[in-house]
Amino acid sequence: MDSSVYANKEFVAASKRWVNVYCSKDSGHGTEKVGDVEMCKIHPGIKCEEHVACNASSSGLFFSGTHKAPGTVWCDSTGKMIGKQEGSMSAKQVIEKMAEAEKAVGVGIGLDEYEFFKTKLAAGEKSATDGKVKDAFEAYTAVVKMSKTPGSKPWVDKAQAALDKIMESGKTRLADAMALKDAKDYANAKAALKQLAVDYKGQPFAKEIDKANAEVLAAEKAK
Amino acid sequence: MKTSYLSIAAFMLAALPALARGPECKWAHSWEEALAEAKERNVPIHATYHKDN
Repeated sequence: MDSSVYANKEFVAASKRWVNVYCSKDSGHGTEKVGDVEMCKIHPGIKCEEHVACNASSSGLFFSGTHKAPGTVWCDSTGKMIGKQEGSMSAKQVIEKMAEAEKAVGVGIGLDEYEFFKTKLAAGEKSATDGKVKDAFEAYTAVVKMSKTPGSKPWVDKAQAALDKIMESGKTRLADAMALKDAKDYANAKAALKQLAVDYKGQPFAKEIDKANAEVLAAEKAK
Repeated sequence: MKTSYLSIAAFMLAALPALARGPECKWAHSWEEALAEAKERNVPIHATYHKDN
């Protein structure tokens, strides 16, 4: 199965709809260097100590005593076994069994979308922390735009909540700038609005900022 | 000249297993990571158990 299933094009494509765990207590097959790291020679995406640990953590959950190898187990999203087979399987057979598991679990999110959401949410969070509001907007908006992707709701909700928080922060900053205007501190009011305009460029909120700026300029002129 | 041909041939031979293998499915790095990711993505888990030889 190592060469006939796990590198099979159809299997690789289908496997993005699940989480895959390779378990083997053996490490005599050796390692190969990937970059600077010694990875498993059979499956260079993982280290031998990882497949050994996976085997130690999970084989006892599904097999008692000795079992035929290879063994395949398909589980729901909590790790509860739905079915298993001892002995070799073809790529097509594994895909069929995993389709049964998918049916039992319901709508989930594919690996590519998962990695996209994780990357964008992390980028959004970092940009927001660093005060790069425009970049944070872009990262979160990229996730919100994926709202039609099946299973995306939790991720889209997270991104939308982050966008709402940024908007709230913008409104607070706008109110602070207008308080400076009311205190006749026009220079700082204008500076605050200038930065707001940079941060919220291209957003509908930018119109409110422009309007506030015009008010500050008018007040300054009338003083 | 002969030496450089030999070097290229040796490099190609060494690279053959990687070239022949092609891209694989992504494997979790631990059982705990697999459980956490499956829960987060709401997807099933495919676990496979092997022995050398």
